[in-house]
Amino acid sequence: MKPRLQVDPQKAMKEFADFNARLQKGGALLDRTKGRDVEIATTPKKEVFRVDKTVLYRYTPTAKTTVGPPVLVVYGLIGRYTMADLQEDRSLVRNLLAQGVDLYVVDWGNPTRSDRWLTLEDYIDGYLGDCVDHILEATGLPSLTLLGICEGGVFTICYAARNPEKVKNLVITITPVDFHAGAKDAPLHHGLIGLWARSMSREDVDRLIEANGNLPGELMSFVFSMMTPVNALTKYNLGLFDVMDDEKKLLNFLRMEKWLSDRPAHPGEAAKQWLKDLYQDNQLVKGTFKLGGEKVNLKKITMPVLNVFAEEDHIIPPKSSQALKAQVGTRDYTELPLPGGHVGVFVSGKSQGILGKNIYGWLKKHS
Amino acid sequence: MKTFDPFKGFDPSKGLDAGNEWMRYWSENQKSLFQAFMEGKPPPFAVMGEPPPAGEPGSQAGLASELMQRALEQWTTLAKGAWTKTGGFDADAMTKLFDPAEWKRAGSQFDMGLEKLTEGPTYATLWDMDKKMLQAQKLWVERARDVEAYYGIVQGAWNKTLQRFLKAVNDPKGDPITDGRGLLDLWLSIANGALLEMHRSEEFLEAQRRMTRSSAEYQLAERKIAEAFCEMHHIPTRTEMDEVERTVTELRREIRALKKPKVVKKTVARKRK
Repeated sequence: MKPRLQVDPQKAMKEFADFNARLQKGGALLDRTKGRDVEIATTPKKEVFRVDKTVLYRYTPTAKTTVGPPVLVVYGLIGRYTMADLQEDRSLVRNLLAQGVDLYVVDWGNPTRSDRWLTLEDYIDGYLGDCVDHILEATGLPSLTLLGICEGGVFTICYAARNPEKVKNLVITITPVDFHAGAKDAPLHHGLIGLWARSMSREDVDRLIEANGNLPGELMSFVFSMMTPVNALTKYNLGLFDVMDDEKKLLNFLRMEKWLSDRPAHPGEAAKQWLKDLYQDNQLVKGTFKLGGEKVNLKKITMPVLNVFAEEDHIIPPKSSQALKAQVGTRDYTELPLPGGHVGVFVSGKSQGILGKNIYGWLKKHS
Repeated sequence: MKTFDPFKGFDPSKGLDAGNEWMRYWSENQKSLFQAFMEGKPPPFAVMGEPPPAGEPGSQAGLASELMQRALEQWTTLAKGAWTKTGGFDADAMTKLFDPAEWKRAGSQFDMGLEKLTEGPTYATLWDMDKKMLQAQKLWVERARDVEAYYGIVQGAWNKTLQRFLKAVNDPKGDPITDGRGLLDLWLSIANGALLEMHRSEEFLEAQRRMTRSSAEYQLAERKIAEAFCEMHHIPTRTEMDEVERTVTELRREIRALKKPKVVKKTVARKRK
């Protein structure tokens, strides 16, 4: 019987020569690459409102408005909104603008230790509420469309449930609703963030926040890297090597890394609510989650809802997002499953066009 | 060596004699200490004479004796600290100490040392700092133990990877591996599976939890030391800053709540148009 390992010495020599050639070409390409080549979130926008560290931007329209009302993009505090506008040919923002959507985005800034006492109420009722009010006041409209991404999706769900009169349409993408769903029978790398959050006691979370003030962005990056351990270990050698002789792929790789490394700290008190009330106790789907002393009643979400999730999402399992269907108080509820992973839905070449086109189509229908 | 009768000191009928006995003991120790300083040696605390024997527990004399003992211990700690912090009390320094012309000079290194020797409250601060440092050291050891346990589990996953890899490479039923990259990809694929299994295991999650917790506890103990230093040097502490920031956050909430009705009214007014 032949052994499994059958490396031909001549083939191995050729492989080594190819490796060196690629390394040389890639090295030259890396030398030529400057900071400006890997800028992200370059779509022009203007600051229209600011409160504390939160800034509301309005993207400069690139086409005549074809749908209304304006759409406010809301990202969470884990990561940054720039993912929706990674680069020119991979940008939900540019896709929507090109089709005539009046688009705003909220930037939470860089929370520091001084923001440790900010709660989810401050972000949802406070800052997000202020941004919504500003847009409504500026446009003279009674309501707008909210487009939430990941934790930002939870913010928009809560806001819509508490202020249904101000939200005409609700679009959520890759958003957890049932924080315990999808843990059983899932692939090994799915739902690890929930396991991590639930492995800690409530006191562990409190002490972690007390010691650091906030939930450090570096810690969250580490938790995310646990889901794809070998990729995390090899991306700067093998991963980079695989793309380093292709300029387009290399720049895309570097832009992605730029976005991944820009992970702000999550304000401490809000992080406690996120980890304990939602990830540990699963209060949102149980109907026991409170903001400002009041329960968030998802049945009050009476506006049309579009729920976009990624079929291969290892961070937010599809079942976690799909749990919203049974909770909302509207019959106009649409699910849009897309191929790809959590971030891939926004930044992969495959999903470009699909996401923007589908969201636009739904908005047009609900304009 | 002096013999000492602690009860004598607290017999009202003995009058001032009692206090004098304590005073003599104190003066001798002072002399011994300063003599050591003059000679440029660390103070010979071990040969400072017989400390006053303890009285009966709970008795007036016993309490006083304990108090004196504690004061001496604090004095010893303090003097040691002063010795090392000021770089040593040499003969010149001691001459300056007894030179009235030098007494007018404030803020010198020597004055700082003297202040440390004479200021009562500093004793407590220094003693407290020792306890804080001991606590931090203990927590550091606990953290190191938890980090080691964590990496032990991670190492286990790599050992498992190696075992599985060797088995896979020697499995005659597997697809042939004909190049280096194929071999590397096999290794990485096996490693990924083993690491993911490990990351999901209760053993790993518990080790990670313990490591995170002990790191947090150590950080907090370290903060206590830093805050003691801050207090000594009139610098606001982290805890005080946190309190201020909490107040600012609460005030902002109040301001927003006060402003909110105005915004609502404006929105409603627009709607009517």
